[in-house]
Amino acid sequence: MNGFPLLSVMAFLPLVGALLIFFLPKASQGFPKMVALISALGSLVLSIVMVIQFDPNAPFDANNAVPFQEKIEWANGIGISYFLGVDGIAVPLIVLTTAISVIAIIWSWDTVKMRQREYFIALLLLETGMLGVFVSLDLFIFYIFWEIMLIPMALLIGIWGSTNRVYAAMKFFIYTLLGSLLMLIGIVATYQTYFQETGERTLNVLRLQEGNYSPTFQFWVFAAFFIAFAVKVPLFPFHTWLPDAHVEAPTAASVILAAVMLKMGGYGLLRFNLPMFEEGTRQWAPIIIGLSVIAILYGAFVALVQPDMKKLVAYSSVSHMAFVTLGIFLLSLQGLEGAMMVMLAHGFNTGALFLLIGVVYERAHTRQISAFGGLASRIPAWAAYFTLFMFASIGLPGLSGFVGEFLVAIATWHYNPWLALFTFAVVIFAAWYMMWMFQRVVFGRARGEIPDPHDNALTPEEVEMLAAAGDDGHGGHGSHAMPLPVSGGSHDAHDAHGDDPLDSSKWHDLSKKEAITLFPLAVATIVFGIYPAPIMRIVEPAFQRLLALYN
Amino acid sequence: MEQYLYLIPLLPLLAFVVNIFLGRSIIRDKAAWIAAPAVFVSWLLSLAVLRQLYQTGEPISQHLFRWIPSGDFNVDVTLYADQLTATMLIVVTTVGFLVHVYSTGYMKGDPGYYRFFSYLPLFVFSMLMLVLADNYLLLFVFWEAVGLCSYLLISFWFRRRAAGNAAKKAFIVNRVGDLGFGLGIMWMFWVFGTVNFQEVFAQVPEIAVGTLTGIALLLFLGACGKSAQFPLHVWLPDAMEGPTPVSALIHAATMVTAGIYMVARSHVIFQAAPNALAVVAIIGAFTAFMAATIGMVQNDIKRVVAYSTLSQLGYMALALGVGAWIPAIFHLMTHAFFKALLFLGAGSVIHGMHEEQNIQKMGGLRKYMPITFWTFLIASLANAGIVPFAGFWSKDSIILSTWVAGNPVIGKVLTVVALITAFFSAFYMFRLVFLTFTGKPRFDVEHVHPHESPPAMTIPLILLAIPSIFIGFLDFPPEAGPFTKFLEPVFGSEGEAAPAEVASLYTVSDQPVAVAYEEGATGEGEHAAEAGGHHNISTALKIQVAVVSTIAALSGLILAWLMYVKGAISPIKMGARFPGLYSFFYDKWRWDEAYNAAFVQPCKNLAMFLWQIVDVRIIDGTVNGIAHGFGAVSQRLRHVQTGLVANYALAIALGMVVLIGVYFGLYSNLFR
Repeated sequence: MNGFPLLSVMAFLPLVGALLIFFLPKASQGFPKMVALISALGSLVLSIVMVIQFDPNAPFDANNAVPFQEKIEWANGIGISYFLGVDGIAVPLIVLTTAISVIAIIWSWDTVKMRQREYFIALLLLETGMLGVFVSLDLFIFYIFWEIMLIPMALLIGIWGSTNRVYAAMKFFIYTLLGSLLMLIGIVATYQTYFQETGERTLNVLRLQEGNYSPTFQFWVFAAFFIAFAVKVPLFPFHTWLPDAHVEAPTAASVILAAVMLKMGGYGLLRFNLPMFEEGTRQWAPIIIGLSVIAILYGAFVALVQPDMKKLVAYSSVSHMAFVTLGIFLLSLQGLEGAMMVMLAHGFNTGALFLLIGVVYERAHTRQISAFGGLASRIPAWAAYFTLFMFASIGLPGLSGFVGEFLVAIATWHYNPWLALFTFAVVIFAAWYMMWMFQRVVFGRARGEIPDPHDNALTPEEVEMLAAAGDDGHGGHGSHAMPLPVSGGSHDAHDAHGDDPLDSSKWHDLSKKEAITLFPLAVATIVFGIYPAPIMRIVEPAFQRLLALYN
Repeated sequence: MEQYLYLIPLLPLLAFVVNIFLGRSIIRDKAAWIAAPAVFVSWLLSLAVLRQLYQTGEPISQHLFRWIPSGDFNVDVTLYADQLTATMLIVVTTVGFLVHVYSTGYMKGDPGYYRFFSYLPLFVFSMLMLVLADNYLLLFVFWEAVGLCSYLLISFWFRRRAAGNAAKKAFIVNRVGDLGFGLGIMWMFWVFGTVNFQEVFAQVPEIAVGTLTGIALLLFLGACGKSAQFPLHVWLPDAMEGPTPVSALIHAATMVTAGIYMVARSHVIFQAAPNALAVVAIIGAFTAFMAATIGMVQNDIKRVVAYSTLSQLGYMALALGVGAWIPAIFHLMTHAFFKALLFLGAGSVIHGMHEEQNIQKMGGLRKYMPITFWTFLIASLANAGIVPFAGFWSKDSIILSTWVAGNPVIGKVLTVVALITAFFSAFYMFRLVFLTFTGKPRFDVEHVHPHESPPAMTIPLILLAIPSIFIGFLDFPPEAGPFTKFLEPVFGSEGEAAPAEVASLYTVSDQPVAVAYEEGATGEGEHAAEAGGHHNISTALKIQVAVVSTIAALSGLILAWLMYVKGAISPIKMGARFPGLYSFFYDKWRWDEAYNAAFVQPCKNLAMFLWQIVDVRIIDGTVNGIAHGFGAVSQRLRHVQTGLVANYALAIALGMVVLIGVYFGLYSNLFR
């Protein structure tokens, strides 16, 4: 494949799709989504080709050709070039991005009714932005992609979101933009300093890594970059945009946001902060580690009392993603690999959880936990997926969530055993908040169902309901789990009308489309839980290189 | 056998996969025909492993693949079977298979039939992997996996809120233990550089005793969760919300013994950490005692059996704590059979009584369900420790080991506690038997017609009754029989003489303990073994202990007879005489309430505070405040935009003047 600009084609294919949709407004109804799907699938295929051809041990520095390098001198005088390339840190995240994008597009197939063309244009633009961020090795084009990504996401939230969407979109936009501007200052400062030191103007990331920056400079510029990425992660206390954005965003945008965009933060730290500012990293690491441990517990605690399913998962993201910053700044191999595994696992698991919430939101038009109950007997396939991803999310060994979190925890122990205690304590709270939600939504009595007479925890109203329904629960023990339909609809006023969206008895189980989006994530979370070695093989050399700077 | 070892766990796993994917659409009520044969073949293969180990004595291992390769942290999926594993394999597959058979009758007609027969083999798979793991992290993986199965099976009748609550509680309380276990593994990795059993154990003599004590205590915290020891015992009684075969298999015979297994597996670490062992012994004895007091006053047939499980697990932990590894495993095995039998018998009663679980509403069932009665009676005799039933032998050797455990305070006091508990055990067991099966029916004979269970259920009862009677003779003469000889290679000659070794450690506790340990471990310390090792336990002492424990058990039995058959002592009056104590026991020592007040509510309050105050008010308040600040400033500034050209022209002119003024003022020397 020598000479074939794989990364460019992969990154710009979605943009081509977006332009096609844009310039053919008269095309048929199904045209936009078809184009979107084909171009996203194209990127996915190319990313898989990339993984297969990728050599983890290939050099990755300014003096050698990097894997899949594309380098075109562009504005030579001021040191800007079109420079693309990937290493073991970018590769897994790129595949995650292309896969999640396809899933998001399939999900949107029939859910988006309003402004379909614009919607798919935004999704495709977003994909190009995200892929661009992962493949750019020049700060200038990196920054362009970074900002490109921001706008479609804000639009997705602000236009296709739910009730409070404009506030959420603005908050998301301003929060991230503020971070980006700080990063811009950091980029300019680094550029200038490097120029003053070496006389060379460059925005080549690999070149800039070789610069010698004074400790004071590193301290401040590190902070500028760090805040931009910390907002994205999001690390406590820069996280408050996330719950709002997640709650208001349409399902597909929530999935992309959780599965991919949050990883931009972790990726940025690994690509820029750690290799460019070793001194700054060392100075800031204790503070960031402290914040991360706080965030791990803080996110879990706040998730404990959320009445809204999406908010609960959003706060759980704060908790999970803090493992990423923690793992990164422990500056050990287990920490870094753990951080990477957490990023990927969080991509599968939280992405899937948002899809699952989307499924019931489509049917019930609410996300309030209290509105649901007994869905296991109404939509069992959905409940099965929910069970799987709940356990994956709370770090059950054998599923993907565990490997990363355990590696980070073990690295934390080496740093400080007491911090490891606090970090690992999250396993209790993660189980608590997820199972709290799970039990209310999936278990228990479905709307309109007669209570189980053998339940030892019936409420007084349920006992009355049972008495009214006639004591027909004693027909041998075989009947104890039989969902008894309400006869005549006399018990629940809602059932008589039949137009109550919360009446889950009329819901259909997972549609084919919904199953197609969930299945690959389920496979991924199981496979990489049992056999994470392929990912480890890809990332290990990259992290070894990184750690070499610190020894 | 080496190359086929993986088949033992694989077959139940395949049964799970087949049933979970095809169960709802194709297999349905044939699901048991997938699951039960798979477990049966695993049982046959386990027998083959046992036979090979019996013949060669060489542990078997099989490397499958590398799970986590992360720098120097490498974890392999390797199966390892020594004599201890083989014993566990037999227990798990035997009880597992019989429970499968029993469930075909018990779960007949349940709409979740296929689901039940998916989860059950998944559990068997996880449990088999747990005992086959060759390193701590792999053990931890399946430690959590059995917790998952437990969650799924407790909440099997998920429409019951009580079942969901119980499942959640079980999982979360277990996670507290898992926190300890996980941290123990981390510590272990950084101390030993590996989590592989054999590699860790080989290095134990070189490690400071304080470190080993810390690791051992963290591991034991994990065991407390899984094996329901105080203070993490609260989940097990609630777990009885699950179907009764689940209670028999998971919450009596196998999963709850995983903690005991893990500590026994780690005996090298624990042996080197005498203080940790003391904690294990005290916790075990306390759990045994506390659970027995609660079991005496409960009225739910399954809860009584559940508390007796807790109590027996306490005995096992006590045995571990005094270094009596083989008696602990022996009791684990006998208990697995007779407790599974008790639960399955209880299930048969519940089945025959149409879901009635309150023993106060039973009575006289003997004539309705004779097979259930006789098998239940055998299991009760075994659990009460009446000679010559299985429980007698194992419990007796635990009490004996405790008595000779060197530290006079711990050894003697705990022996007394164990004997009192034995008395209680016999009492609650026979209170249960008499209230359920004898006397006059206390249910409405007109409407409730109890019936004997179908053969699918009674045959497993009969099959389990056989080992409940005879398996105690597997170690006859006590502590020198075939069972002890079989397991000796695992626990080593020191292991055999463990009580003595602990004895020597206790007596020299003011010396550096590491030295004391080496004395015991190097094998040169024969004198340590001689000091009080059971080789030297005289037959007279053995018989004395046996007689005393038999007297304790028999008096419990007689008291129950006097109260519930003869009516010589009125239980109601007894309760009325000690109302405080009675309700304290009846309310399960009120641990649930205490935990709720001490942990659950404060956590929720803190969570509310963090959300409403820190997140919404402070952080978001700041963010929105800044935004509003900008808004307000802009509101003022917008008055500048008047839209009148004259105003703008004036502003431009003034601006020019200011700029020029600044220029001259700062950079020009025109006015200087």
